[in-house]
Amino acid sequence: MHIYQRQKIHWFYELLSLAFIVLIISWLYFNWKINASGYQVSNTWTFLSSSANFFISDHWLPFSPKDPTWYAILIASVNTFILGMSVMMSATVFGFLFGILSTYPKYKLQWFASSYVDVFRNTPLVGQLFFWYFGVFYLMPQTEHIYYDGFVKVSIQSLSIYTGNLFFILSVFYLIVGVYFLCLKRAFGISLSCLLMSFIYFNFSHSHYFTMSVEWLALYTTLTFYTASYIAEIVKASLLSVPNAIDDAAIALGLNDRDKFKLVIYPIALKSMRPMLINQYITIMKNTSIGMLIGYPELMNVLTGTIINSTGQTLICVSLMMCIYLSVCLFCQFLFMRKHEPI
Amino acid sequence: MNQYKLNSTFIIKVVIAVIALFIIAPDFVVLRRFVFGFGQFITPSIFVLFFAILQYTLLKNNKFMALLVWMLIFAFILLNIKDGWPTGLMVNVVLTLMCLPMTFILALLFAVLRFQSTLLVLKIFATVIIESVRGVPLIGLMIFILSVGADMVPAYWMMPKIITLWMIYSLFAGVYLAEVFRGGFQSIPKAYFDGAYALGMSPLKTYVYVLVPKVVIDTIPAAFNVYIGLFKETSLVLLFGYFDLMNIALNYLDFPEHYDESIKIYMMVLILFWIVATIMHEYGHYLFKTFSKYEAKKT
Amino acid sequence: MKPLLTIDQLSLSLSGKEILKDVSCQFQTGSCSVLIGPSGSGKSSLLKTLNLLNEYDAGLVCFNGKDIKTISKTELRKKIGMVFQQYNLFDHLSVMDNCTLALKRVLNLKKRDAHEIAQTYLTKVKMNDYGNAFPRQLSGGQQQRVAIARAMCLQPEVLLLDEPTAALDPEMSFEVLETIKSLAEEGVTMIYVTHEINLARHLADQVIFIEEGRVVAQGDVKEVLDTTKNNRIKKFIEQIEHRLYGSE
Repeated sequence: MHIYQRQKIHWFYELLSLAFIVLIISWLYFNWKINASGYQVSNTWTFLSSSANFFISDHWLPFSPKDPTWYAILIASVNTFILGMSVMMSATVFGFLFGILSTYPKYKLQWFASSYVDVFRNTPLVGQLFFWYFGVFYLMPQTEHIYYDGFVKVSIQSLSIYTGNLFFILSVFYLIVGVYFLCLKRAFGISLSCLLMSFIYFNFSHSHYFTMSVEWLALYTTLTFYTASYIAEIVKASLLSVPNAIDDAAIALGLNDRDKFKLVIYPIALKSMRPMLINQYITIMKNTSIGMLIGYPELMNVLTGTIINSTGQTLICVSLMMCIYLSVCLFCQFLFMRKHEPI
Repeated sequence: MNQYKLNSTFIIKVVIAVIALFIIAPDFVVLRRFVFGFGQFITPSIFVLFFAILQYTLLKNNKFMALLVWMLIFAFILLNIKDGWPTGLMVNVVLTLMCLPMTFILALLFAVLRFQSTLLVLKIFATVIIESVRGVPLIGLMIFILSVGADMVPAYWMMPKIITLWMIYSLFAGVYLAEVFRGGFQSIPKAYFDGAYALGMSPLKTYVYVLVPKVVIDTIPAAFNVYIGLFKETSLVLLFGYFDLMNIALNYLDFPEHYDESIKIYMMVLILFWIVATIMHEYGHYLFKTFSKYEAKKT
Repeated sequence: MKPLLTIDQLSLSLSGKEILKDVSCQFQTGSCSVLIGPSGSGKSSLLKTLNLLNEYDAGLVCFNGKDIKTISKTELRKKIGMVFQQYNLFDHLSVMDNCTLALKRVLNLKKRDAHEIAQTYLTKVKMNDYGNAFPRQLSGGQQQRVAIARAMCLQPEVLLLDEPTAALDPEMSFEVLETIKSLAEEGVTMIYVTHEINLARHLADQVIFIEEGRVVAQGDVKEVLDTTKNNRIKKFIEQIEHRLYGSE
């Protein structure tokens, strides 16, 4: 065997490092034991099934303070999930738009796309959030001068749009699509998310107005613009990484500009950008946690803010929070990165 | 090594940003408070001096001196920490500076342990740490450290806040940087091992004198992306009640007479962050151009 | 005279595949031995084995009368230099750093002494003006000459050359061949894998023909290359010469 492929187990060093790690962990644990013995609260899981006793301002599923705490956590997770999903969709659209713009020499808009990326990539997410939430959305009319024209209602707390029966129609549509995919016995992910969307839309169908809180709007705008700049950069990099020879070959085959992009360059670039895009999607899920700073009731806020304040179960809540985020991230990685396709 | 010329677009961008800053800022005193906080103004100039020395050592390729200067900077920061300092933008800058070497060391350690080591225990340990830090948002990590992690050291240690922050940020950025270094290690051809072994070098020497320098130089642009991310994430220190730029802005806007200035103030904050991040970006570019001359001609 | 390197019944297998079977040969001090044979016959693996870059299964390799497995790898590699087909230079180090790396880190010499030694060997391969250049900025022939200088810097007793001109065009390989010739005239012990029959005729004290991991023929140049009775070798040499002089 070649020298750098050799795998030998050095038992002595293995045991030594194991002992070292165990030593560190036990040191941390005993310190914690000593320090935590001063606290009055005992760690129990029973609080999860007792009633929540707090109110969640934004919820996509029905919720009342009498519901159990685990249900409140579920509501918060749905909030996070839907926020993340909507950001994913819009950020992908914007990101591809800007990414393609910045490599497409026909329109002289590269400077615009590149400065967009520059500005949004080099400023902190928290700053952007505060800019949108305290700056821009603060300009919405105060409570005494609510704007209302029968179709749109704008106030400092929320934005309402008249939707009529749209949500009922959408719900039925998604139900049909979901069942269709389910009957095909393939694309279970799509069918499940369609059914979920259908259920959520159904919950809105009893009201003729769709209301979005200003916190949701601010988070959505911030995350969309922020992530779109990253996606634009990824798209640009992968489009530029397609070798010139392929471009030449496509032209030599007689493809016009549009077909060349659609049939040759884009599929190649898509393959190389896939892992990076998935990384971005996972990052979006983690970035929704900044909703805590403006009081949007997403997972981080509810679990480590509200529930800790009302029950005092710090250790359980924090470890639950870490476990949930971790499992979501690992699950996403497992789901998307299973197949290693050669580029 | 001095052939690097500043990018003209970079200069134009920064000049425009500075002009915009002065136009937007309500008055000079506010701007000064945002940048330097409530504290002294002598310390930033000493920082600039330190950086001049650091730059000199880098140009002379004197690693020992560079390390010494970093330690001096670190000691200087620790000695100067008091109530009024650092505040404002200096918190973000100082914290980033403190984290840079530690991030680098941790990342190298994690990358080697996880992806190159033959010791299974260490490999698993590094993997668990990397995945669990990468899988949790920074806010979550901070809450964990604040609530549970703070009890995990003896109570009489009385760690200064900035040291806790330093550890959190180093760990956080180090884990991401480790991933970058992994890519660097993977891209090294096997010929390097053959070449080094044929010269009589042991595996350890090969790592220290051949592979690590190459990986570090190759990954400068990606590493600076991580560092810029670290700098941006330092705006979260407001969770610790630290008076960084963001917190000072929030504080400033608490007064009713400043309510309608919020867009201006936040634009100012963003521009300040943007300027520093852009300078970091350009510095990374400069370092890469200086140290990767071997990339100049590709065959 | 006692041979410098002795290989006795060496056999080697890499990832389950048998590469070398019962190879035995000897290399004298100050001699130049040429290994020829078709590609994939195990010549390069044999060279790597001599440097312990491959670990062999059975047999005995003796260097100066000692089993090489009993000598520490560092000591062995200090005494046996190696030049690779693809140069294997370190791209991120300048030519001078490439040459002084081993002197500084393996022999623990001072920087100044290392520079002096490297400078003499770079002069020998006519690369002394390129000390500050980086490998990527040089042509293939120049890189290979730097690689030879790097191997010679440790002042090895044996120099292993693994097809040093295979990746080069004729013009560049000429520079390298000149360098190798001058080294051979100085009396450096060399083991040289090549397809250059002419050079072998000119330099070699001993030619070893290897096919499918076995030594087919072994002896001085005339014996193996010109007056051989083995049809396979005749054909092989004919083909190479046909390729070289095909246009005439």
